[in-house]
Amino acid sequence: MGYESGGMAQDGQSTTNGMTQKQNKSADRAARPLSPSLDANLKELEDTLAGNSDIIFRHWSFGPDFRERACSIYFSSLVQEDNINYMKHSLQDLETHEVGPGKDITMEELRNFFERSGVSAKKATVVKDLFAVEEEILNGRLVILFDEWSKALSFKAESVETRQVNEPVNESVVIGPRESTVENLQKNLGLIRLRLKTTKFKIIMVQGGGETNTSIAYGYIEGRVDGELLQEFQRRIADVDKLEILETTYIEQLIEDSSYSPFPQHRYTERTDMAAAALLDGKIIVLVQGTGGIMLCPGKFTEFFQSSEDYYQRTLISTMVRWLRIIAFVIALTLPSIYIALSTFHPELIPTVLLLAILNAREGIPLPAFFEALLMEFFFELMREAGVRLPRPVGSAVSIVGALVIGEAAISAGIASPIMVIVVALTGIASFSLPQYGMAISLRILRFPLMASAALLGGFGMMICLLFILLHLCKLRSLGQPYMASLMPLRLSDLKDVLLRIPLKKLLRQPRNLHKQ
Amino acid sequence: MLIEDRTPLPRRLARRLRSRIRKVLKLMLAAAMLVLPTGCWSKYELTERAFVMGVALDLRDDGKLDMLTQVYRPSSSEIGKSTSTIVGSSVNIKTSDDTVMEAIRDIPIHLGRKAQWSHMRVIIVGEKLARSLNLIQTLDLFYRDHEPRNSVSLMIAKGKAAHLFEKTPLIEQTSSQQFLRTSESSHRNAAKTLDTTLLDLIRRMKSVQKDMAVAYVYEEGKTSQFFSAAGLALLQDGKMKDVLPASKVEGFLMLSGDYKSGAVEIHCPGSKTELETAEVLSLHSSIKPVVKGDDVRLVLRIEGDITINELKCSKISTAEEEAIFVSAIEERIKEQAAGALSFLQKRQIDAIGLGNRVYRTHPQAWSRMKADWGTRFAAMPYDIYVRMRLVTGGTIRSKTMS
Repeated sequence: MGYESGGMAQDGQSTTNGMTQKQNKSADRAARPLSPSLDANLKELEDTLAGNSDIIFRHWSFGPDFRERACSIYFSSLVQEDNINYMKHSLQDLETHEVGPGKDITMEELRNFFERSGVSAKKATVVKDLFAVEEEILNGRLVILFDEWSKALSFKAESVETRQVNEPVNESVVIGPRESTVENLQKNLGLIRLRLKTTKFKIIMVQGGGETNTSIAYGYIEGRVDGELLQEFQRRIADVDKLEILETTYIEQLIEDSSYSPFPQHRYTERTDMAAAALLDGKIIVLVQGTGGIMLCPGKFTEFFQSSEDYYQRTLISTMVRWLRIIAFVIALTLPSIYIALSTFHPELIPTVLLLAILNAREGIPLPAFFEALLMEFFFELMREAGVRLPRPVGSAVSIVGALVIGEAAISAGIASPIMVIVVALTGIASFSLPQYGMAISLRILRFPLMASAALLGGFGMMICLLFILLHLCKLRSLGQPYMASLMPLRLSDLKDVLLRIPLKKLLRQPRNLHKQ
Repeated sequence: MLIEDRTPLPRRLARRLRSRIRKVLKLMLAAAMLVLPTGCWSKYELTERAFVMGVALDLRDDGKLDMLTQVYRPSSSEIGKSTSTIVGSSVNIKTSDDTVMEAIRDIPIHLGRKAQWSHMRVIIVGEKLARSLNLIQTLDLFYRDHEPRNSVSLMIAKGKAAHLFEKTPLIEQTSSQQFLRTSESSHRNAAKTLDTTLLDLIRRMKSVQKDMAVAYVYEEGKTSQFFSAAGLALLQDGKMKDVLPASKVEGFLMLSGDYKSGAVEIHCPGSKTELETAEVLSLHSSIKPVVKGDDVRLVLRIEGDITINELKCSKISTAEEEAIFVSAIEERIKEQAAGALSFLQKRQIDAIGLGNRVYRTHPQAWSRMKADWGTRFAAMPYDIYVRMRLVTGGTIRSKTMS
């Protein structure tokens, strides 16, 4: 369709808190008001909506001698349950008794009733504009046009089958709520709003552009979020009304400070409790219609090691698991490089008995250590990608083949040494143990330059590469905020929730560690 | 609040800067790629080097040095079992030349791999070499080179050191490892020898009084598979002078403060054949030279914990009987210390480092005494005070057999 639907209407008639952000998408488009003639309106609409097999125009007649005319317009693919007759309900609003065929109702009465916002059985919105009518229809609502009235009635009638609220797929916990987001924006916002019953929690809607016109919502808690941070965020998404947004990650990639950094600058979750906790910490959450991902911005490096389950379990185990994650991070990043550096440059650093075991393993292997490591890592990455893409029926067969090929056959054939397979497997497992998927991906990327630098200059090369990574991290910003906020400059009081998880007795009673400079 | 300043540079300047930076980065990347397969110069694969486990140095009749290097031989599934000079999972390479360095350079002509010295476990020096040449001068390479570590165990062998390496290890992977372990445990658990390292030798050679004791090892017979790490070789001015027998080593260790744990035997009162034993759990000895003018007197204080291992005739049912038993043990310990000391005094070898202690506390007195320290040491009077504590009777239940 060549039209861009424009105007001021929003998705969802009951916008939360009554506050909506009116985005005037195209100031150069004049509003096209409805004309009182039903036929003229219908002609205009048929022009724009033509070519669609799922659009339905249903004509009604009522009033004395069936003189008054009306027409319901809706998409049959959006309004799937059509057992509610909105026309009938509108007529019913005007009579105390059963309206029957509506012989006693005139347009005058109807006009009066609805223009004065009478209490209707089915909630009707009055629409004045042709663009608005198109937008309402595209959003799954049913619009009734009347003859001799330059306004139309719009009813919320959308009923498309969507996914049920279920357990989160990627972020399951042992103890804690198992509520994940679905694809419907209003449902997701509702789930979050139920957790934060405060008037300070504001949700603002923004409209995307292009042909998708996706609804985007961002929320924050007034008083906790930094004013300048909010302004910066709003500044960055200012031009989203010209872009076609399909997922929350589109927004993430739109507003991130560094597109080429391997490190994610914003957190991503599908759990509503995590979103609520982030809001309480002064973060801004972003949701998009059509997807269940919630983006939490800005992100801090230390936060990528926290999961919501840390707070649902007791202090000791949470602290230990946090340490485990930090160790896993180090292992996932550096273990293959350490092996390469030690075995090719610094064998004197390896304890003698371990060295003898490695010698036994490496004798007779044709490849030098670096290329062997590269080969094994490459196989592992292939397996990982294949595991994600393969269809379920072939799943088990492929995983067996992968394990056998890489594990057993390579070792027996003498292509790889068992030590290398252990190193690669341990690296892979360590990278899976991080709660945020974005961080695990960054490790996958950074492992290879680190391995190359270890092969080049040994421990010295590793040090150089790690220095570069550190430099990059220090320079990195998330929504203008420094990425390494609590670590550099080191603020031990902020770290109380990073290295340890101090008992909730103390944590809950202290003021929250708000994301401030 | 720090939001980064993003005011852009003027467009042309920015473009030029960007393209230049990109060019430099591409060059750097290409350079890095070039070096990737080769790496820098000090890179080598583990399979390109031979890891040395132990070294034996001997003196030949014609004055040349005989060197035997024990190299670890990795056992791989495909390489079949081989023959001759392979003992267990190690290979002995024999080379001979004027200096240690030349002998080392002859190793690749037999082996095919350059030796890697970082994991050397033991250096064994033959007796003839130790008696004729200055030890630290012979071993200078191992001290100076960057690869060998100073923590390598040092031992002196009775007869030829090379014979010892030809024995198959009993439990360990290589016999060098076994030498190291026997030296350590003989010192720690039995007090029959001292676990000396190259670093000890170096430190002692740099002190004012250069006598020292080095671990002594000998084989049980030319055809036997066993060797013993017992006794100490006494060095004076870097050359071996005498051997301290194993029976006197306990006393020696008490004198030098290196006694870790061991056993004490006493005779039953009135009997020459019946013996009782007690185990020393811990022992602290402090040896102090008391200097008055030019007279030096030795004061040795020993205190520790003992437990009873074998009880045949004594009784410890009352506190008095216990005290009698303990004092008998103390007497025996005193005898051991005195016996070792008189052995050293007779040979005028101050291996316990008494001269160094005098130098530390009374440097002026030392400068007067150092010329004839040997005779002074031989005639030095000494006082030994021993106080042991019986910690446990050794039994779990209260009733005993005797």
